[in-house]
Amino acid sequence: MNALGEKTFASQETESDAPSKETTGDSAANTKGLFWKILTVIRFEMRRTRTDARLATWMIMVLFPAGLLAIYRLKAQADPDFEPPNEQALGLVLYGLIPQVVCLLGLLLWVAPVLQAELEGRTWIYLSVRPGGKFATLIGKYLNGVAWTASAALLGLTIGMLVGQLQVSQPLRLWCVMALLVVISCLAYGAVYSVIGALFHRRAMVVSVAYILIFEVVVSNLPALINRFTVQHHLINLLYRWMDWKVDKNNPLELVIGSQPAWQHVVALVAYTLFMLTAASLILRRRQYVTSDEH
Amino acid sequence: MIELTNVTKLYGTVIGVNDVTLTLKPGAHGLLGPNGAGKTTFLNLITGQLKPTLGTIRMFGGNPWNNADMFRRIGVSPGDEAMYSNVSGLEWVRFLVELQGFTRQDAERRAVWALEKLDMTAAMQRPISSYSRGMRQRTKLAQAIAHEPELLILDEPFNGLDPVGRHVVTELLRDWTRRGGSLLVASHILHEVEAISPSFLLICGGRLLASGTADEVNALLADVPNRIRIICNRPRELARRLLDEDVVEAIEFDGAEQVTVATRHPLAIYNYLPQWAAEDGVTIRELHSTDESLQNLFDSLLRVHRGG
Repeated sequence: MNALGEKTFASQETESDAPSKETTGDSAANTKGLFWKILTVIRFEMRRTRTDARLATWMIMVLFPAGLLAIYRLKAQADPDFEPPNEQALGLVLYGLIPQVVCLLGLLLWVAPVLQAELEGRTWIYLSVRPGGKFATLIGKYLNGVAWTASAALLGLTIGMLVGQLQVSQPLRLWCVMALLVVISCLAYGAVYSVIGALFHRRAMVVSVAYILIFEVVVSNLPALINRFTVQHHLINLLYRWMDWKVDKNNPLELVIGSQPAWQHVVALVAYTLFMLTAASLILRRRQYVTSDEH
Repeated sequence: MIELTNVTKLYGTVIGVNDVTLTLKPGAHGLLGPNGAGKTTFLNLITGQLKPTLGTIRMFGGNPWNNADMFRRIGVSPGDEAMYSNVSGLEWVRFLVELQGFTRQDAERRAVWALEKLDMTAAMQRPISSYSRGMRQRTKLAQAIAHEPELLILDEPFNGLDPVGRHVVTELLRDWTRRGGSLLVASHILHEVEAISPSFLLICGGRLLASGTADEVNALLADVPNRIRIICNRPRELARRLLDEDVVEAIEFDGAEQVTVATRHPLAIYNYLPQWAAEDGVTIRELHSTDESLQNLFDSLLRVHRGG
């Protein structure tokens, strides 16, 4: 045991507990790997980001889809001539509300600006001078943002389906598919935002919104090969595959819903996510982030 | 321990560090320079936060950029006071020690130990947002020492500390070096560094102007003209004495009671003054060495460095 362990913690002789140069710490304990460091970051971030403001935002995320579905239900009950939309249309609304809007907004708030916050808060240096600190911070904060967003989306989905009482033939199946899409959506979009955050740390949220509008809204709906490089293309295809829905003739989605099996879309999204996280990690490793005014 | 060879760091067209070459062996070193001198850039370069535009840096024999082995061997306390506000000092230090690679239990013990060394035990459970500037400074130092690095790199570690805090930190750092730990302290205040480090690096305008012990730096300054402003009742008699002894380069009178002299021999003048005052009945009311400020000292060195 080193001087610190023997004297400070064992015999409490604080006057003679200065660093020992013979050892580098608590022996083998100082070998915690990256995985544990990532867990450390997640745990710390969960604690640190549990603020009133964030809880309020989280609650809005939960209640937003539930509120809209409640309005839908009230309208259905109040209007005797109300004709409920078909199952596919209801599913698409739910998909648009939760795996898309809620997840994208949550991640925009909680993943895109994490590096920007560290740099502007001038706390980045404390993390970046630790062995593996940059990578652990990137992944830990990414997973923390994903956890916050996914939890809000899943709770919102559950409450929304209960409140909305959607007239679908397989509500449990729809919930399970949506829940899976929420998780995949959070992981994939979070990875994209991580890259954007690492590349454009001063305008991460603005660039993220631009990316969403250009790629995930416009490009993903183009009937061309390029739409396969968007998350949205794979998510909507998964929704159709997992729900066993067929696309009607004259439905605009006919052009973007392909015939590939679901596993291909899952593999594409997993690969996409890993690629994006690797890219974000490499950018962090290579770029110089100045946190001080002094030149 | 630290080797820089012709290191230059440019921020666009602005020079942060200008062609610095030096070798620092293990021990305590002070990096002195006025605000904006390039100290923080220098520290960012050796801690692997920045890459040099030109030249090479070796820390413990390796390139500091993304060097996990080096990160295990250094403890860094930056000059900025920013910290997370809604966690306690203990939580924050423990988290950073865990990131260093220690288990949660070891990290907890080390964090408690380090905070105790900095007199922060009573406040360590409180949120950082409630800390004074001095408490933040001490918490920053605690996270730097908690993993027992070989080399402590501290940027303005005395900023915001009250006299008691200064004493605590000074004693801690003295003890640190006495026990074999290495130290590099950046500061713009000479006496702060003098108290803990026998070796100085003087940096200004991104250039390394001088290095060595306090005596060596003083010797270097011996030939640099100093300006001394004296307020007394008989400035002209005093000026005549100064000219007789041939210890001044120039004399300026300002009003009836003030004389300013430029000299390369300030110590000689300080020695003569009491004798002249007694012999000529001169009453000296104020004596200012206008080059006392570190900024002027560095201006003088910069002129020497440029051959002026």
